[in-house]
Amino acid sequence: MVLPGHLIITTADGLNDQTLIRLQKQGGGLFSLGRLLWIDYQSNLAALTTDESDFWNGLTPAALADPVPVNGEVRIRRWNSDRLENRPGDIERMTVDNSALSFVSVPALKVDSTISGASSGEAVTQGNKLLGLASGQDSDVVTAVPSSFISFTVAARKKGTFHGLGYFDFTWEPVENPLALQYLGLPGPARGVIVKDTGLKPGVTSLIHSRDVILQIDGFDIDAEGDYADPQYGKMMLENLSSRQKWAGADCKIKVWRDGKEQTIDYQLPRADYSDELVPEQSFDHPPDYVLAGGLVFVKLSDAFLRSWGANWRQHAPFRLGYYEIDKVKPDRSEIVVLSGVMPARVNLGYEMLHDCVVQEVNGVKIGKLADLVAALKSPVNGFDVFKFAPGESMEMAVLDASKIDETNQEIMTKFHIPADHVLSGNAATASQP
Amino acid sequence: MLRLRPFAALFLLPAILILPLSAAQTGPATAPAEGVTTLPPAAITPTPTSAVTPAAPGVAPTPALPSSTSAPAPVVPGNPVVPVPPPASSGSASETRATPQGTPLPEGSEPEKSVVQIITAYQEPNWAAPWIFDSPHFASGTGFLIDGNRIMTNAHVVAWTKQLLVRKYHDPQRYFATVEFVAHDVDLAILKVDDPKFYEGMKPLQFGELPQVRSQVVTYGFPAGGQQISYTRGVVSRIEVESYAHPGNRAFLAVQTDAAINPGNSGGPVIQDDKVVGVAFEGLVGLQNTGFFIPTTMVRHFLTDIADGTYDGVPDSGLQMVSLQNPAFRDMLKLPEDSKRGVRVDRVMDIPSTEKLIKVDDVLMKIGDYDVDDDSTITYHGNTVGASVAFDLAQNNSTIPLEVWRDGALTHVDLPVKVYHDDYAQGNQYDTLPPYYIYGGLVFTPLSLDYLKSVGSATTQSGGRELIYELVYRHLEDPGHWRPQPVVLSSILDNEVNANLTTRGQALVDKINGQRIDSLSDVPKAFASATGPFDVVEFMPDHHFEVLRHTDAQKATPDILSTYSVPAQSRL
Repeated sequence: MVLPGHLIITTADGLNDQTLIRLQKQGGGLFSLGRLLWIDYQSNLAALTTDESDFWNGLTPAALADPVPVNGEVRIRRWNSDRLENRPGDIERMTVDNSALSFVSVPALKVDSTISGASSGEAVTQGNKLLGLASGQDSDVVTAVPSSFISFTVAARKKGTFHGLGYFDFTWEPVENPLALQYLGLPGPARGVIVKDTGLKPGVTSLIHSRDVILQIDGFDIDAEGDYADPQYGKMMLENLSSRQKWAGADCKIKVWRDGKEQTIDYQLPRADYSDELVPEQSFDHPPDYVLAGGLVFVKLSDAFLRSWGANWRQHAPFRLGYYEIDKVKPDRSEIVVLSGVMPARVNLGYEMLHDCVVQEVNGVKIGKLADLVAALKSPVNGFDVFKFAPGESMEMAVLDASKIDETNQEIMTKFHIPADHVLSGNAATASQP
Repeated sequence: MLRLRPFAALFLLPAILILPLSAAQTGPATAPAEGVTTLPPAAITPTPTSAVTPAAPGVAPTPALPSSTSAPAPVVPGNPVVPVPPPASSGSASETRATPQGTPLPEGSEPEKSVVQIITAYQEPNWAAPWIFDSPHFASGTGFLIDGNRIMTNAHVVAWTKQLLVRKYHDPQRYFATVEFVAHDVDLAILKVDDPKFYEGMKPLQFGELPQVRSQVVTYGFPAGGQQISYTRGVVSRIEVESYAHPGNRAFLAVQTDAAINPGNSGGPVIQDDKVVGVAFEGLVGLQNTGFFIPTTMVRHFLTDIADGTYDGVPDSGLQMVSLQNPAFRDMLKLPEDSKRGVRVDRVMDIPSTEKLIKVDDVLMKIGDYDVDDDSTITYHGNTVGASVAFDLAQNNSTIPLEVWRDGALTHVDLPVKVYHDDYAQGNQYDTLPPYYIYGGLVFTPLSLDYLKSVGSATTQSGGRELIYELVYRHLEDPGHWRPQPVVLSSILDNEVNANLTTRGQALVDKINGQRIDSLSDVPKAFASATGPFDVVEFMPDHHFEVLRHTDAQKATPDILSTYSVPAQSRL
């Protein structure tokens, strides 16, 4: 959708790893070269433009509805080849849902419609106003990024106040058992929710504690189901308060019941990053990280790696690798490093069948991330590179002649057409010794 | 023995499944143990949970995996999972007496007279609701007479049995039998028949040695597809250490043959030169002409073990051994350049006597009488087999002499070996009813493979993954938080005292009333220790907790037991 200021707003999903963007209007005609202005995968929004001034001729910027109506009929539109598909729909509700590409919760507009496969930024409109961009569909229910959130994001981008999505780094549960509140000593009727797990943001000491009862956030009372009364949208889940007119780093006043009394916590919203998760669910716009060492191929465990076992990877991937998806980052372990396989060479004889082994130590150095392995390889032990794998692997230790690593890497890179012996954080390197 | 990590196999490897071969109608759900090889991601063929399908009469069901949501299904005749070939002879009883053409049996020998059909009525407990038992089922297997008026068969033929009947060759009468010894680890059992008439006309079969690869063998048994004895002939295809599906987490020497070994053959003799060279016990789903029998190596081990009137089991060396073929690794361990011997100790299990004597990176050059090659094999009766076989020959509480390369020199170690029980919950359990404790409608039971199979805890659910990780990997990766017997809240028997609880089951228990729960026996003690008005049950790993009013829960417990027809509050 075209917005004022020669800006095209769309969903980020599908623009990842892009190398060329071309724009076309009215379902046909010549393409114009597009340019990415910004993209935020966490909120699933991206802004494009083009420097070809003719492109904007005949295009009228859309008006964004803010607030978003919570009922009524809508239209969902998209270009289907050269035909403008225009399907009716009904607003179901405004709610809070997981972002299409992230673990964070964001506001979501739910629309009933007969359209199929709407998930690529299709426009949800009412009258001449844009209500949202479709980001997913489940049966007849289309989820859209609401225009109020788009409007807030675009304005923040324009003003330079965008700091990324924030989130509450704790999990909670609704209070279904009044005895739980009695046990915690909270008087009066059931209210608030009970905090379970905390400290989900690595490296940050959470100010919220397990068994705190969240009573109020920014002045909004939290009920026993975890909802608050939103002035615009009615009952909304408390997670909405982490993105309602706020970005990462913003302050929240959280009133909790702790140790038998009410306390107000000055809470700062941590920024949502894929690296907050031990097994990142996404990794966009750079090639996968890996390290080649004497034919042993090491990678960072990620959802993308697990998806190489197919859509049902939870059933098919090695159990332990899949388990780490629900484990948390620890101070000394921000990533799981995996020996994904072995490219055969003379020096790695005897290790050909090793694959999908979790790496614990290399040359006596604990491996908490792939970069640790690169550093550890610089310090062989008495001329040997010693790899220790997690207990329970088919082999818990492998040894290579460190003096032959460089030569073997070159040999393997030539034989198997590999351009670099390691890629870290998207940066390929051809240095023979990582 | 080679120890197996059952879940690694359950979720990664079962491109092929190993099935016990009793002709179970709805037989024991058995986890396939670790397979032959680990495949790269693209090559892995997972076992769909739908593999738990109805079985035809005489067809063992596909193992129920923890990821499965269905229990073994009832019989659907005519819809076999494994095609069941007709018996070798489908003619009259007299015709079946004829020696199968081309077999190596000497003239006049009649081993079939010593082969019996075993019909078992068995009933398994429900591990998720441990006071409940499944419906009784019937299955059949094979056995054969050995010295001492004993009938040898497979353990899985008699597991959870309530009644055993045996039927002789050409004898319509059925005789009652009882289990004298059972060895679930090696899948063997000894039965006794009290009626002396049973033994009339029968001669005990004698045991031979390990057969040679490519030599011919004949199986005798009562497989599916007919009522009379069946003979199948084939060659010994290979001899290797294989997983034993009945225990689920053990592997011992086994012989593969292309002789048809089908459900119902279980426990039957495999004969060569008029002697028993093995006991048929399992097959591989997905491969053709692949049956396995237990060689006399393991049979003799069993018979020697029970000579004192008690079965102990095959002891465990407590060592994970891996091949040592990489030149750099051998160089680092200062092994002689021209040596091709030695298997590296990769891991030492938490067995104090073993930990005291053996270290990681020790290289075992000789185990007992057997030189060990660098590919982790020994030569046993002319066959190249896994080095673990050299340990498996030992009896419980014996000592095995080892030649060990350590710190650049050869040394001698006498390693005592004992039966290892600490991984019992990771394998299939038999004979002992599952323990439980019920309080306020909350049903607590130990975490085990059998429990996971009962509830169908799936790897696709985070709760299921937590349970599996706790059972299999916690003690390896996080020994500081390991518990000897993790306890799960299995389910909740609904009552007003627990109606508001959000957890309804399949949750790992961390603490009760502030007390850490290391085993089921801690649970009643923890509830009894309540000092306030509430009972608080804390769960792992997310700090979720549930609260009951102590007096209400105590008071309601007898009524709940009565309402749900639970015979006792606990089985500890």
